[in-house]
Amino acid sequence: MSERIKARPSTGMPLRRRPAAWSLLLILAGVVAGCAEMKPLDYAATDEIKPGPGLLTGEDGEFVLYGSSRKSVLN
Amino acid sequence: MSFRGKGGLLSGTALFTVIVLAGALPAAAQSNKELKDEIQFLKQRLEQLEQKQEQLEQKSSVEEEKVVKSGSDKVRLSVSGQVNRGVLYGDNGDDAEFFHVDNDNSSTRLRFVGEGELDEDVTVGTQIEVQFESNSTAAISFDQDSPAGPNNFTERKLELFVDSKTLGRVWIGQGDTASNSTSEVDLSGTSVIGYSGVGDLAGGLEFSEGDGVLGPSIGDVFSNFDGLSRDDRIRYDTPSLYGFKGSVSAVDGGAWDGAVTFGGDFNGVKVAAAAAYANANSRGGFEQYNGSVSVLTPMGISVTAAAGTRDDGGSGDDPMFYYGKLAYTFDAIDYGSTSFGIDFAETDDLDVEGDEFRSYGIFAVQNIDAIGTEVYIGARNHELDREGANFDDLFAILAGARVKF
Repeated sequence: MSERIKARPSTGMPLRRRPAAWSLLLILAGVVAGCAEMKPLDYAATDEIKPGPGLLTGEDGEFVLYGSSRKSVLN
Repeated sequence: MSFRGKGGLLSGTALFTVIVLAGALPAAAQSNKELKDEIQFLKQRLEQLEQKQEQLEQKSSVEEEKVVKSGSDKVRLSVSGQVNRGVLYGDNGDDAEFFHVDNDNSSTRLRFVGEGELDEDVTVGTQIEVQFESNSTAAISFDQDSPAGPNNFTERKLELFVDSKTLGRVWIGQGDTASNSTSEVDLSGTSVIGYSGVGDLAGGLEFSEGDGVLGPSIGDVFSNFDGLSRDDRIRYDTPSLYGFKGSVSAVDGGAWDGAVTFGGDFNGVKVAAAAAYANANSRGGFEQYNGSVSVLTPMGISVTAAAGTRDDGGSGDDPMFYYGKLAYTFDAIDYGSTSFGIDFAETDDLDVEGDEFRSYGIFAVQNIDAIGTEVYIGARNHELDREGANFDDLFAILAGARVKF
C-alpha cells in the first residue's frame, strides 16, 4: 500500500504576518534602493602603480609625451 | 621821416614778435619736453618688449626640442613608474638578518602606455610594463651571500588591447589573466605593506627548527590562490554594468579562467569584490576557486576578507586559504591620509598534507600626496605546524617607502 504524500497545509497566513517574507522583501528593497544610489567605483589592484600624483609627474601621475588632452581608456 | 616811419613800423613789428614769442616759447619748450619724455618712455617700453620676445623665442625653441612629436593627433603616449625599497629584518629563531630589499607587495617598475583612437567608440592600445627587483622580498634567503637577482628587467605586461566603449575590451599578450588579483581586493590603504599576498613581505625567508638547517620558505607553504597570475593569454572584459564586470581568458598551455568583479560607492560606503574560477588541469593539474571583498566606510574603518581553495586531484584534503583584515584610515596630518591595519591569514595543506600555516600582521602607512610617496612599516609573525617537525616562528619587520615618479 503506497503511502500518500500529503501536501504541507498552507498556513493561510497573510504576507504581513510572515516575518521571514517581510525581512526578505526589506533586504531586497534595500539592495534595490542601494543600487539606485550607487556610483561605480574605480578600483585599482593592490600591486599596481597607485593612481594619483607623482614625485616628478605632478598631478597627472604620468609623463604624457603627447596626446595630453586625451584621457587614457585604461584609467 | 619815412625812415622813422619805417623804423617805427619795424620796431613795432619786432616788438609784437618778441611779445608773441615771449608768450609762445615757454609753451613750445614744454611741449618738446613732453615729447622727449614720451619718446624716451616708448623707447624703454620697446626695449622691454624686445627682451620679452627674445626670452619667449628662446623658451619656445627649448620646449620644441624637448617634446616628442607624433604625426597623428588621435594618439596618446604616457610613461609612469615607481620605486619601492625598504629594509627588512627577519628572524627564524636560528638566523636573524637585515636585508635591503625591493618590496614585492608592489615592485619597482616602469610602464609605457600607447593609445590610438580609431573612432569615437574604439581605441587600440599597447602596454609595456617591466619590473626590476634587486633583492626582492620574495626571493631573499637566510642562506644568501649576495643580493638575490635577477639583476635585470623582468616581464609584467607586454600586451596590446582593443577597447570599445560599447562592447568591452580584448587583450592579447602577456598580462593579467581574468582571475588575477581576485583574491587581493583591498580598500584598507595599507596594501603596500600588507595584504592577502602574505608571502610578498618576506616570502623568500625559510623556517628553521633551530638546528642550523633551513626548512621550507614562507612562499613554499603559503598561497592566496590568486587565480592564474599574469601569463600569455587572450582575455575579454565586458563593459561595466552597475559596477559589475565579467572577464574570461584563455591561457597558453590550455588553462582558462573566468571572473566577476564589482566596485560600487553606496553613499560613501565603498565596496569592492571579486570572485573567480580557474581551470589549470591541462598544465598545473588543478582547479581553483577564490574571491575577496573589501568595504570602506566614510568613517575610515575598513574590513577585508578573502578565501580560496584548490582541487589538485589528490586524495587528501584540498589546500585552503583564509584571510581577514581590519583597518582604519584618517587624516592625522595635512600631507596625506594615515592608515593602520591588522590582519590574519591561514593556508592549510599546500606544501605537505597536514601543514597549517598562519600569519598575523600589523601595519602603518603614511601618504605624502604632494610627492606621490607612501612611507610604511609593517611586522608579521609566521607560524608553521607540520607533522614530525617543530619549526620556530618566523618574525619579519619591513620599513620603507614607495615613491611614484
